[in-house]
Amino acid sequence: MIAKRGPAIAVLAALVIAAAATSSGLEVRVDAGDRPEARSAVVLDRRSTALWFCTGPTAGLAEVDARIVEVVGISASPTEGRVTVVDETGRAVERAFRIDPGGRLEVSPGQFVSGAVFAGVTVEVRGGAAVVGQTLWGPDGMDRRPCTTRAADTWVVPWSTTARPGNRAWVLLHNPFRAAAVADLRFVGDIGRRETLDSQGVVVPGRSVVAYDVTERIADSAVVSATVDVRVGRVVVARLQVSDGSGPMATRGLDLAPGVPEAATRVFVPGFARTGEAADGGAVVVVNTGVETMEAEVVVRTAEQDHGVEPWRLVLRSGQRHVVDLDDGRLEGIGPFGVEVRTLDGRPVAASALYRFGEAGGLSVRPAVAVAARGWVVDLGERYGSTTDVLAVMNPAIEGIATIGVKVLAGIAPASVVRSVELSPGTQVSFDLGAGPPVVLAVESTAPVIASVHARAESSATGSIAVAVAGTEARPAASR
Amino acid sequence: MGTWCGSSVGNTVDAAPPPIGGQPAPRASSALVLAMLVVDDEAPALEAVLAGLLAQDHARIEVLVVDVRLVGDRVGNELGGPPSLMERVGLITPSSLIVRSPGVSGHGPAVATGLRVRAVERTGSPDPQFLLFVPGQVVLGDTAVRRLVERAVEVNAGVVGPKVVGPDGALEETGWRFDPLGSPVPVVPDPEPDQGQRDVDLRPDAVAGAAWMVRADLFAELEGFDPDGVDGTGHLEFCQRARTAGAAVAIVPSAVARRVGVPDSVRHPPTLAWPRFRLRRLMALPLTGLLARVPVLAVATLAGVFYGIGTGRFRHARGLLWAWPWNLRRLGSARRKVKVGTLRPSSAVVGDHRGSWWLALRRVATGRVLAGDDDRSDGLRHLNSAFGAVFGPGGLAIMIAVAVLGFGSRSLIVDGLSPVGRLQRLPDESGDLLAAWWAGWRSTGTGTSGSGPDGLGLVGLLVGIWPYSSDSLWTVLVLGSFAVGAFGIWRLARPVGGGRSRAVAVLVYLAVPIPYEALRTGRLAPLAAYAVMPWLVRRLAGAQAMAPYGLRGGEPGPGTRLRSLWSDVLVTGLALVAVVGVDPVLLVPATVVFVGLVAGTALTGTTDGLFRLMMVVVGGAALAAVVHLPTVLSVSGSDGRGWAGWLGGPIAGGWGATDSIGLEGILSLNAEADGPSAALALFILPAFALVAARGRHLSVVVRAWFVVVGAASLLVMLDREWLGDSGSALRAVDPGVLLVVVAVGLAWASAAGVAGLGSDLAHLAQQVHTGRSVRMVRNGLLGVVVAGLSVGVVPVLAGSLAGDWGTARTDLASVLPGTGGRLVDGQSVRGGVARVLWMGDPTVLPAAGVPLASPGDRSGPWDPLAIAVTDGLPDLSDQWAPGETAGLAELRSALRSALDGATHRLGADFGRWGVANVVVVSRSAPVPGPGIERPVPDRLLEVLARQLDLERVEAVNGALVVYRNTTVEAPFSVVRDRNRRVVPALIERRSMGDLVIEAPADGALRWMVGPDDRWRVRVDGRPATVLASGEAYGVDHRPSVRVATGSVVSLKLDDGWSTGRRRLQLVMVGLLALLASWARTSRDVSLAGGQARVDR
Repeated sequence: MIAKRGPAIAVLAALVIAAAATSSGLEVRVDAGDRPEARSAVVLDRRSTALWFCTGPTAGLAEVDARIVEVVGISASPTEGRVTVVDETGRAVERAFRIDPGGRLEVSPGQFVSGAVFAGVTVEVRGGAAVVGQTLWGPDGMDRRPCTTRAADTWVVPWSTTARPGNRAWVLLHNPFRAAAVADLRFVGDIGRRETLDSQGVVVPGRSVVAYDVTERIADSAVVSATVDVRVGRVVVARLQVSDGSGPMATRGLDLAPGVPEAATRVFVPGFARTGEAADGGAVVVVNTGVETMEAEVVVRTAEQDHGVEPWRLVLRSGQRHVVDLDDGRLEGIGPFGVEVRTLDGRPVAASALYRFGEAGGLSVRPAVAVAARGWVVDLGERYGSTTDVLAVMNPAIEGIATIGVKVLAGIAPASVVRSVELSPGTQVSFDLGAGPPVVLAVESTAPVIASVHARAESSATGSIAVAVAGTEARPAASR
Repeated sequence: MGTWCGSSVGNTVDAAPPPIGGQPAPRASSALVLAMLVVDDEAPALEAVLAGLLAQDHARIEVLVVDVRLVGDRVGNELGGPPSLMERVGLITPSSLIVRSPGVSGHGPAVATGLRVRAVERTGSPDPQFLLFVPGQVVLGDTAVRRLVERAVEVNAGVVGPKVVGPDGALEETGWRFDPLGSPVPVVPDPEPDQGQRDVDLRPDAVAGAAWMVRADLFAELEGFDPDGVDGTGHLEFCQRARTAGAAVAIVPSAVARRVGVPDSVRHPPTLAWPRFRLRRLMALPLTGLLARVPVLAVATLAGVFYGIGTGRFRHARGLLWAWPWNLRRLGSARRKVKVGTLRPSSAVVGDHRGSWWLALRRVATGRVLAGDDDRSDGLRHLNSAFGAVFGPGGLAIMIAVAVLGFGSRSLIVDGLSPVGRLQRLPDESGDLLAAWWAGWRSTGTGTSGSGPDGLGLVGLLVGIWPYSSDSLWTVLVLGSFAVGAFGIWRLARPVGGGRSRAVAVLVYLAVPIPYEALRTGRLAPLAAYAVMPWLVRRLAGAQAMAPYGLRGGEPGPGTRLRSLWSDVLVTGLALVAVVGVDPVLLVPATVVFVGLVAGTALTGTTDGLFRLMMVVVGGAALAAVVHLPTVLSVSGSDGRGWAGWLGGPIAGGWGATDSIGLEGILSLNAEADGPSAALALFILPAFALVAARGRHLSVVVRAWFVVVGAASLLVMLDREWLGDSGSALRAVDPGVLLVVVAVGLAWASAAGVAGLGSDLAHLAQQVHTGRSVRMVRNGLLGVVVAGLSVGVVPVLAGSLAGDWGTARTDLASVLPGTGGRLVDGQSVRGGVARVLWMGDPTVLPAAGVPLASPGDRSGPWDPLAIAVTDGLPDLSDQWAPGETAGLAELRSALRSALDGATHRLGADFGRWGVANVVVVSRSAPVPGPGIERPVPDRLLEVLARQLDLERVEAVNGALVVYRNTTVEAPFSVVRDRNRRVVPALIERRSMGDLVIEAPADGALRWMVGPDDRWRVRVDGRPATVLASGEAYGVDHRPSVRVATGSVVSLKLDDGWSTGRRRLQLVMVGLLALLASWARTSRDVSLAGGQARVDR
C-alpha cells in the first residue's frame, strides 16, 4: 500500500495554527450576586413583592413613648400586603392589609405583641409600590426613617455612646425568617476592642428580635462601634440610642439608626448643614472592619467642585475606629456640604455621620451609604413644626454630570424644590423643603446619585438616606 | 428383483471358524473377499476403483457391482455413445458380477440385493469370508485388502477399515466415535498431513465409510444393513451393532485408500442425515435409555432449531425438525433392533471430551462436529488465546496495567462507588429501571414521559438477575467500562501489528485521564464513550475494509473478519442501535469518527473503501433509524423537544458540565485542565508515527490522526459556539465524550506507529542523517518515544495509590438531613414521597434537571445553573434530563420570580408541588472529601435566605445549603370543600405506575405528578370524571376528581403507547439481529472454501 503523509501533515499543521489563533482568553462570567443593593429600596414593578424590615422598641421601653410603622402606597392601584410583627419572645402575629393609592397605613407594633419591649415588623408588599418607614417618639426626641429592605450577614454600627450618665444604647437584631440565626458581636470602645462571651454566638431565633444592651456590656464609653458577623442566616441590625442630655457632651436625642450592611471603598453622606452654634457638633465616625491597616480620607463635597477644603487623612489599624471632628475650623463658610469617606488602598470602610444639637437638643445619625441610584423616593411627614427640612442630593461620580429632577408622587409639592438641576461630579445640592403637609417625592437622575433628608425641629433632629428605586442602583466608580 | 449380467469364477478358501456361531477364523491368505460396489450415479471414478481392486496383492477377490440407477445404460447398438456400465466394468474386471436392480433405493437394500443375486448366480461357489464395501470413490492401495484381511484375522476383528487419504495425500478419514447422544464424531475432523499421528487410535467406534471390510458371517449374523437406516450411515450403524454383538472394530493404518477427486472436497454426510441417524439410534435404545435420552435430545433439538433460525442455518433447523417424523414413521423397525442390541454406550472413556454431555448437546444444537482435541468453547479459546498473548511481547505491560487498574480501584471494588454527579446509585425498587423504560415514565422532575436511554432498561434487567446487591452491579458496570474500553482498543489494534502494538494501544488508552476524571466528577457519558468508542471505530474501520482491516490495498491483519457488504450494513446498524441505546449523544462522536476516516483516507491519496464505508454507514444508520423509528419521529419535531431534548441538552451533563475547553484542554485530554499535563506526552508517539510510519501503517496512522482531528475540531467549534449558541443540540455532548474519540485516535495511531517503529525510525534517521550517527538518531528518537509513554502513564500510576482514583467516598445524600427514600412496591405512605428541589451547577447536582435561565437568556447570570426535582433521594433514573415538565416549569417560574424579587414566599410555590426540601449544591461531594467546587452566585443564596417560608437547616455539610419548606403540601392530597385546606391522602404503591389512594376527606383529590395525560383515574372501581384545573368543585392549576371520605382511588399510568413502541423496538432489534446473524453465517459459509477467517 502506498500512502502519502504530506497532505495530512499540512492539514494538521494548518488546523493547529488556526485553533491557536482563534483561541480565546478567559471567559468572564457575570456574577449574579454582584448587583448593588441599597439598604432601602422600593420596587416599582407591579409583579414584584417587596419586604420591608422595621426594627425598634415599643412603648414598653421606658425611653420610648410611641412607635409607628407607616406604609405609604405610591402606586396608582391599591396595594396589598401582609404585616408580621415579632417580638423578643418569639411571638409572631400576621395581618393582611390593603391600602388605596396614596393612602397610609399606620401600624403600632406594640399593640400586636403586647408587653413586648422590642418588636420587629416585616411588611410584605405585593403587587404595588409602597414605602415603609417608622417614626419613634420619646421624651428626648423623635426619629423618623425609612425601614430597610435588606437583610445581611455582616453589619457595622459605627457610632453609639454609653458615656455616663444619661446615655443608653442597644443593638437590635431582627431575624424575620424561619430559621434561627447566630451572630457574633464585637465592639470597639474607648479602650479598644471588646468582646465578651455573651456577645459571641448570639442566637436570634427565627421570627424574633434580640436586643443587645450595649450600655451594660460596654459601659461608659464615649463612642462604641460594633460589628455584627452573622455565622448562620441573615438578620437586620439597627442601633437604638437614647440620650437624655445629662451626659458629658450634653447630647439629647432619640436615634434609631440602621446598621451598615456592607463596607466599601467609597461611602457617602450628603446633606450636612452647620448651625453655627458652639454647642452643636458634627462628626464622622470611620471604622476599619478589615483585618489589615488601611489608609482613608474624609472628603467634603459641596456645591462647588473646587472648594479648597483639605481632606482629613486617617490611618486605621484593623478594627480601629476614628472620630473625625468636623468642627475643627476647616469648614468655616462653606455652606451645606456632604461627606465622602474613601480609602486610598482599596480596602473597605464603614462610616457614619452624626450631628448633635447641644442646647436645643437633637441627635441625628446617618450611616454612610455605598450605593447610589438613579431614582430615589423621599417620604416626608408633616413639617409644620420643623425649623429646617433639607433634601440633599450628591453626585458621587468622578466624572459626568447628573441631571436630577424632583417629582411629587403623593401630596403637595414643597414650593422651594427645584424641578430640575444639574450636578457636577463630586458635588451636592440641598433643597430647603420648608413647612408643609406630608408628601412623597421622587428624585430622578440621569446618573446615579445619593439622596438624603435631614429634619430639624425645636428639640429634635433626625436624618436618613432616602429610599432608592430598586433596579436603578449602582456602585460609584472607584476614586482615582 | 435384481438381474445379473455377468459372472466370475470364485476360488475356494480355507476358512477358519469365525467367533460368531462357533465358526473357525479364516486364514488370511486364502480368504475370499467379495468387494461390493453400488453404482447409483455416473460413477466417474469407477474405473479407478476397479483398477485398485484389480491391483490388489490379495489373490482371492471377487467383485460385485450393483447398479441401482433408475435410468440404465444406452440401449441398442448406437455407436459413439459413452460405454455402458457393463462395458466399463468388464473392461477392467471381466469376471465381476454385475447386478442391475433399478428399483432398489439405498445402499443397504442394494447390498442385500447384490448378495442375494450372487448367492443364486454363484450357487456352489464358495461363500466369501469377507465383504469389502467401497461406497466412496477411493482407490485402495495395492496391499490394502491383504492387510485388512490379515489384520482382521490377527486381532479377530469383525469390521476393519483402512485410513482414507485425499488426492493430495492429506489424511481425511480413519474412523468414528459416538457421543452420548449418538452423534458420530470423526476421529479426523479436518484434512491434515498424514504423519502417522492418528495411527495410535486403532479401535474407534466405527470405521471410515469410504471403504471398509466386514466378516461375511458376522454380516449375515447381524442380518446385514438396517433396511430402514439413514442412507450414507450404514458403516456407522453396522459397526455399532457389530460392537454390541461382541465383534471388534479396528482400523488398519497400513491399509490406505486414496480418494479420487480434488483436494479439500471431502464432505461428511449431509447435515440432514445426522439428526435422523442420531434419533434412530436413540429410538433403538432399551426403554430406560430411551426415556433418559430422548427428552434431552428433544431439548437440544429445540435449542438447535432456534440456533439454526438465529444464525440462518435453516437446513440444520429443518433437519433437526424433520428427523422426528421421519423416525416416528420408522419407530417399529427401530424398536425391533433393540433385540439385537443396536446401541452400546460409547467407547469413550470417562473424562474423554468425546463423552462430554455438554459437547453432545452442542453438537445437536449447532450441527457442528466439534471433533478436535481442543474441547474448549470458542469464547474460552479466544480468552485463552488472549491470555496467552499477554505473555507475548508487551504482555508484561498489559499485566502491569491490569494490576495498576485493580490496585487503583481497590477501595471502589471493596466499598462500592460513592454516588456523585450522574453516577448515582440504582433505585431501591429493583424493577423500576426496567418498568420506567417499558412504560416510558419516570418520577424525575415531578413526573416525565422521557425514560432515558434504552440502556437503562438493560441495567434494570441486569439488576433483576444479578445475585448480589445492586450497588455491586453498578460498581461492576462502571468499572467494567475501563475493561471494556481497553479490550475494545485491543481488538482495534489487533489487525495493525503484534502484541507490542496492542500493548501500547491499551497502555495509551488506559493512561488518558478522561475516565478517571469522569469517575471523579460523576459523568456517565464519557465513561460510556470510553467503553463503546473503540468498538465503534473498529466496526467502521472494518466496514471500510481497507488493509489491515480488509482486503483493500493489502493483506488483512490478524483477527480480521471479512464480511459481505450486506453483513456489514446489518452489523453496523445493530452497532448504531446499541450506541443509541447506551447514550444517544454517542451518535455525535460516531459521526466524527466517520468523517475522520473519510478525511484521513482521502488525505493518504486513495479512495479505497470510501464508497463502501459510506454505503455501510448510510445503510446502518437507516436501519438504526428504523429500529428507533418512534424516537426519530419524536425528535424530528412532533413533540417539540427536538434533538436537544433527546440528547439531553447541555444542562444534563453536556457542555454545561464543564467550563470552556481550549486547545490546552484538548492536548491535556481533560476538559477541566488549567494547563498542560502529562497527557500531552501521549501525543509524542502518534506524532512520530505520522512522520516515520510507512505503508499500511502510515495509512492507519493518518486515519487515526484524522479521527483525532475530527473530534478536536468539533470541540473547538462547539467551544467557540460556531455551530450554534449555548442552546445548540450539539452542546448536549459532554466534551469528555469527544475527548474519548481523541484518545481512541491516539491509541490507534500509537499502535500503528509502534508496529514498525524500529525500522521506521531507522529509515527516518537515514533521511535526516547519514553515517554512524544514524543509529544514534534512531535510538534517540526511540528514547523520546519511550520517555513520552512513560511520562504519560505517570499520572495514572500516581492516581492508583489512593485506591479510589480520587473519587469522593461519601455522597451528598448522606449529609442531607430528613430526606428519605422512595416508595417500593407494597409500601404505603401518607401524602406521598416528599420531593427535593436541587439547584446549582449541573456538574455537581445529583440529578438532571432543566436550566434555570430562560431559553432566550443563556448569557445571563443564571446560565450555568440548573434545577432538578427528585422524589426523595436521587438515583440513577434521575440522571437524564426530564424535559420541560409542568412541575419543573412552575417551580422554575416561581424561582425566577423570587430571583426577580417578585415573591418572598417561595416555599408556598414550591410546596404546592410537594417540595419539602430545597437543596443548593455548591460541591459535588461533602467536605472535606475530594470534590468539585461549583459555588452558586451569592444572589441566589440571598434570595433564598429572604424567603419567609423557607427555613434554613443548620449543621449541614458545607457542600450544601438546605432549606426546609414550612409550607409544603402533600403531593397526593384532598382539598377540602369547606375550608380549602389540603389533607394528605394515604397512598399505596402497587407498582411504579399503579397507585392506590385512600381519600381522607370529602373534596377534590389532586395528584401533583405529571404528565396529566398519562394517568387514568378510577374512584371506587369506576372511571372518574376528571375536573380540569380551575373548574367548579375542583382545584386551581391542577386536574382533580371528586372524592368522599373513604373513597379508594386508583391512579394508573397509561403506558399503552410506550409499551407498543417498546414491543416494536424489540421486534425490530430482534429482526435486525437475526438478519445480521444470517448475513454473517452466509458469508462464513461462502468463504468456507477459501480464507474465511484470517486468524494468525
